[in-house]
Amino acid sequence: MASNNNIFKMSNAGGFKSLNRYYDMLAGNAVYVETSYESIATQTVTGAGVTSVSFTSIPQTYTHLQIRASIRSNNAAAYDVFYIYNLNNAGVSSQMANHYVYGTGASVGVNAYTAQFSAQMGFVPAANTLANNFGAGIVDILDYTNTNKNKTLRGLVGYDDNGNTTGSPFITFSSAYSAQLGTNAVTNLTFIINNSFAIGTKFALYGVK
Amino acid sequence: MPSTYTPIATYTFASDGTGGAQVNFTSIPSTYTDLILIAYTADTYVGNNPNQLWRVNSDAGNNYSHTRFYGDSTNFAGSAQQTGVSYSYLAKPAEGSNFANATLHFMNYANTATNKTMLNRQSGGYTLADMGDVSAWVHLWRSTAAINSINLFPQTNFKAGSTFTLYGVKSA
Repeated sequence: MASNNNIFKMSNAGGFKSLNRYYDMLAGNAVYVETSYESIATQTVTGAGVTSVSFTSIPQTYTHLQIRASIRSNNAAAYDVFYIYNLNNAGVSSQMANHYVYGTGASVGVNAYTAQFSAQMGFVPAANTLANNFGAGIVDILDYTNTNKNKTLRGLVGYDDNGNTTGSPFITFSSAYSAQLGTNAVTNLTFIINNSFAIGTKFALYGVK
Repeated sequence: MPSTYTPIATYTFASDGTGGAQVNFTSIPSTYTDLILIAYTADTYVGNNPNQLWRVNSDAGNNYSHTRFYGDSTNFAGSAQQTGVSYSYLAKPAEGSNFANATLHFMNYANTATNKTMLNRQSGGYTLADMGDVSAWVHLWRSTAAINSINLFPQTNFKAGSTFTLYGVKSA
């Protein structure tokens, strides 16, 4: 009988070339560590006339949310404004506030808004700028289920168009707050632009544990 | 829900690079939605704010542009580079062993119907004489090809301790 430290080599005729003995079910493999960043849902615009994209019944099992988006507008202009709107579908009210810093290459600036129906998170390319260009947006909502805190949304949104259009492009760093939401957990999110989203616009919602 | 944010590859310089050695992430699978490159990097360049650069797919054509804003100890300003640019900017470390960090998002990198837009947040390295800057960038690579490699370039050489990690994020 072989001892526990022996490695056995069986005949090729049996289809085996070696036999190793292990003492746990990992069998020499590394321990699998599951990541804490999970994909919740994705929405892609596939038709005309889509003016809003919503995520509803957001699971309350994560700590933070992140939305990653590729966005283009059908607005007959160089760009359109990208908003977060009507958190938790709680009804339209002028209780959102936001501020942002932005750069266009030619200039930089800041803006702040209070008592609004929606919060501007940045600017995205529209119909009159470079073809096949989609803006990128990353919006974070930290501690979204905590009912002891108001929620602050953070956005990094931008696009470049290689100087295609005067008054374009934009890179924007923004934050937003909803007084109507208050300390409630976030269960629904809606994104809008002034015109409609171009086909191919995509929003992906992720949860971070 | 499917877990994502998967490490694809990491490069760490155990000693200073030589000969302007690049970092190349190659054969990037097209199975993710976005790529995220996290860089913590310094340069052997003697002088302030060396420019460390990136390209994709080894494309050395004038297919890159960017817009940014930045703030340092005295300025809040913006800039852009457009036609005639064959690279874009990764990070601007300070001189010596003062590391900068950058988080560069390649959004929808495998989509063959769109040009590629990247978002980048950078924080420059610091010395007592050079406070570096913080900046936000949007980059454009004017190509509808899927990104299958990312190429990083030092100003002179990547300094020992420079680390670059590429992650893949896949949407449901």
